[in-house]
Amino acid sequence: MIKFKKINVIRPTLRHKKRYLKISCFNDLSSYDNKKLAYIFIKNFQKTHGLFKTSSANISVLDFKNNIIIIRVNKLFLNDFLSSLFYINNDLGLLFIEKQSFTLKSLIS
Amino acid sequence: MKFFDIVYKDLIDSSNPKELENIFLKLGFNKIFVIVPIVSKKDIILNPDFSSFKKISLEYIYLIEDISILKDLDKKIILFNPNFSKSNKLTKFLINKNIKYLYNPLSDSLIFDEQCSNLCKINNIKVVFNYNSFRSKNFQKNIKQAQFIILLLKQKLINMYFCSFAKDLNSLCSKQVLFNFLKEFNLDQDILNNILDYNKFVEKYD
Repeated sequence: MIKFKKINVIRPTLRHKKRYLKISCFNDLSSYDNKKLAYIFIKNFQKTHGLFKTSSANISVLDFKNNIIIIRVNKLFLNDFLSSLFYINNDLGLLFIEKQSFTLKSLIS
Repeated sequence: MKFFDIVYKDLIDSSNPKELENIFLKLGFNKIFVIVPIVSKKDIILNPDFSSFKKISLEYIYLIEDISILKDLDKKIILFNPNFSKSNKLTKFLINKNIKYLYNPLSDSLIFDEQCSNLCKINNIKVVFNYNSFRSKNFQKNIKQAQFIILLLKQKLINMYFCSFAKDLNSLCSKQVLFNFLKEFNLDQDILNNILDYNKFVEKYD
């Protein structure tokens, strides 16, 4: 008789549906605040991928200190968001993507 | 795996070597080629002085328009940028077996067709794109041409590379952003892994 092992599955409500990005900038962006940066990222994404994807992607800027930005995106649109950063050099200059993770804790530590 | 980028000398001269090294390492590049554009024999510079760079290795790469200069640059890496004042067709240039690297086949009108891709396959020519042409004023035209050309290159299994040809820091781009942008051209992961591979770029097929 074959014994089946019970596999513990994460409930759909508990699965990680967001992705967090830590981005650092080469230029000095001290004159910008969270709202201005969020507007720039969202407008740029809309320009490259359109209105409907922008509304589903739920891009938000969580924190901005010492030229380091923490962004939250829906996991399905992470690759599209990264490809949209190709066109952001005119507004924000050179950007480095330091880390990507599915929890905020692992991003900050 | 070593990743490379191609850059103009203006960028190297404009900033501090230590700062530049840190930027390139953060973006993920270990090898940098510095372009020397050559119009006549007088412009040839052979011995580079990059002693101030310690963590990254730099090399010269030559950009020529005139095929007759090829003989003077034996055993060097040469990018060929066709000059259309002499002839309108790219195929006339690609027949020459001494050309190994073709620079940026994007222009005002479509010049790279199926015949060109066949010649590239027969002569083992590698195609090097300038990805800043997708950020210029004519970006829509360039993207449309690139979609057609990249399909042709993919079908014939021709090696293609995407480099910045940057003159200032804002023209550079990190690897992750570039790979995700190039996925929009329906490139597979196998091809994307080789796009910035230094060993594949320098490999010779004799």
